[in-house]
Amino acid sequence: MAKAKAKEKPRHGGWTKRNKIGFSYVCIWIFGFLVFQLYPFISSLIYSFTNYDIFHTPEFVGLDNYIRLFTKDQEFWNSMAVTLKYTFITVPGKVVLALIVALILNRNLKGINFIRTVYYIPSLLSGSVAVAILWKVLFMNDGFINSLLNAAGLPSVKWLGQPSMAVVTICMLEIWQFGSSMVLFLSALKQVPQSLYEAARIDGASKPRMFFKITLPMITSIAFFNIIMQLITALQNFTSAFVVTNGGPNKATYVLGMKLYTDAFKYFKMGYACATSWIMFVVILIITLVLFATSKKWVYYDN
Amino acid sequence: MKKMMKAASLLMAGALTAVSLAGCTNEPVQSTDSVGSNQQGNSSANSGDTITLRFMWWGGDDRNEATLAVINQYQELHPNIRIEAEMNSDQGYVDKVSTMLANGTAPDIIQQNVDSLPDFVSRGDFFVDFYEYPDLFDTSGFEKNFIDQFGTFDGKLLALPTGMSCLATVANTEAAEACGIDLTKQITWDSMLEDGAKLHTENPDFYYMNVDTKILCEYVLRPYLRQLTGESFIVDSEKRMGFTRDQLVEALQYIKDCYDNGVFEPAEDSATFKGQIHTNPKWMDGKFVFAYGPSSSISLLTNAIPDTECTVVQMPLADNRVNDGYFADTPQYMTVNKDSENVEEAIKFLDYFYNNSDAQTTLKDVRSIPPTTTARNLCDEEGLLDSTVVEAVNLAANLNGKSDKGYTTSAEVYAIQEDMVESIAYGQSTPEEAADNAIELITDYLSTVN
Repeated sequence: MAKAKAKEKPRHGGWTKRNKIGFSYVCIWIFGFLVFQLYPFISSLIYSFTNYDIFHTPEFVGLDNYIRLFTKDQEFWNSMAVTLKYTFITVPGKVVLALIVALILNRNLKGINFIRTVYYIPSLLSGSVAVAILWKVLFMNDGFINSLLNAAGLPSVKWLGQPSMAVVTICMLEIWQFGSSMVLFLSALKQVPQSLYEAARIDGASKPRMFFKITLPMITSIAFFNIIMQLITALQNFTSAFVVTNGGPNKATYVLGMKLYTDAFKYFKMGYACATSWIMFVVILIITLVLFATSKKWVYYDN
Repeated sequence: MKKMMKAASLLMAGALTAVSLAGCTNEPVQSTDSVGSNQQGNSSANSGDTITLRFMWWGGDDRNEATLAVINQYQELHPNIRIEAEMNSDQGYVDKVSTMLANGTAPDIIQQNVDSLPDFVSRGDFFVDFYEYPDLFDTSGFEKNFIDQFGTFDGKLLALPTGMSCLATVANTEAAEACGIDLTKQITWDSMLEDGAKLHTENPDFYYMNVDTKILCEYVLRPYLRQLTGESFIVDSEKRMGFTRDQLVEALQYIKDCYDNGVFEPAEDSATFKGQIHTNPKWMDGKFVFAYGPSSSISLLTNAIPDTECTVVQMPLADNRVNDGYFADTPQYMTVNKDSENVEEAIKFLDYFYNNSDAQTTLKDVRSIPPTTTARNLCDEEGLLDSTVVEAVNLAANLNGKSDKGYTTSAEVYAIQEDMVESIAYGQSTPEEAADNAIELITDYLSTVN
């Protein structure tokens, strides 16, 4: 009898006082998620099938927005190319730099915590308009960076004026903010069992060999996480392209995020912009799934 | 561990994308740079007898100080009125206004961009018709022709011009003298190309004209075509382009020639100063003879070279032009939000703003030459107007070009013009390719407008 009663009781323990308190704690998050994430998520999907200028009631147009994007809109393909270029420069650049700095900082030096903090500071300013403006000033034709180059006897570079360099410049801004990836790598490096290194040393392994055969395989799970996160962030970039170059010169930095903003708030094509954002979502999803599919072959989980 | 990592990564992917999509909703926008002249009181609610009005504009320090002073004068005269000043920069201002209008969070009184106002008017009934309030707003100070042309839409006075302005060619007299440029000679398109090329060949550090690719659309591309055709870039009433492919190619070829011959600084060098050509170090160093700018912002160019004497000269005029292509204009408009809870009070304030002598002498020429004859006469008598700005407007007053605000200046068509000029400036397209592409895009745009 007692056994039967125990079976009827829900797994979460029922609507107890303790569970009510717990639920009230997560309520705030649930509310935020529903209102600020799920609602926009669903409504943007609905708007993507409409002609909506934000001033009038949306008018259902079926797949017209998507068809137009793929067949008529030259800017969409340019923006897609720019976004992919930006992503494929920033993600490897940021992850590799974060790993190198983490390796350097993964040692017991005097004042190491202070040095780690200093390297993390740029990430605290991530997405900041002030930093983007600072970047613009640094990379102007007669800015600080060109002054340094000239002092070293090198010619000035048109960082923001030359289309091929402008995209590199905003990539550098993103790569510079490698702090959060670095912290994750640092924690992963600390978890690599020392016994593996000791065994390798006894076998006479060189340091590069130990890095490629022990360190790198042991931190692949964190590397995988960093790559996924940075990929998502890079594909959604907006601030640096908007503030530093405003999509120029000659649309060289006109990433999808900027196109989406321009269509929605300058051209009043909210439905069209929503369709663009859903395509962006699908691109992110596909790349993420491809990475997950390949991860079985190169990511090592110790459990 | 593996499953947890996988779940966490997928969750984050979904969450981050959802956040990016959140930008596509019409959630109200926070006015972060709103500065209340009075810190108390809710912006739209009345507390007791106190009425609060929100007034939003963009501008530099001089305009902000003068406008705040007028607000304070009005508040002293009307203790039951509080006016919250929302000062902005012009960057992103139009986007902010459009979002606020769409969400019903727009201020009571809004300064409007001349290029974008026709677009707003065509999209909805947002603004008060001042003609419906003859007892509250006195329009007699304006010249009828002026407000008929600027601010009147289908017989309704929906916007009040803030001043008389024009496009101006500002000359650095010292640079002109050093380079042997005769400022008394009327500039034509041909002479600009010829003199500019000669100047740059003889002095490779010098350029004839300080421009950016956006300025070129308004100051060269469209006026060139208007002088050639006598029509607007887009003829709104017929929803068609006012030029042929060959005419557009000719205008673009001219811009290309100017870049190729050093009349304009290479786009790669001037790109950093887009929208702020007065900050170009070459202008500050006196390496440009001329710069283009609106009359309402001439001071930005002249203040950048305070020790140098500047003057204004007539805009380029082709010898065989159909009409002058350039025209006197207004720099901004003032509108009253139709959804305001205090429409009448907002109109009364604007009546003070435009027609009261204290307000007129306080505002002077912070929005170019005052739009009313009373303010112009008063400021002129008291010597409050910048002589360079007056000269620029006087030069434009004699020109017979016709304003092309409307479809031509909608954000989308402006972007097409700008892309066209940039692709020429960066050598990415030939004039023929750029023209074909632009014609295709404009045709597509015109097929979608109501």
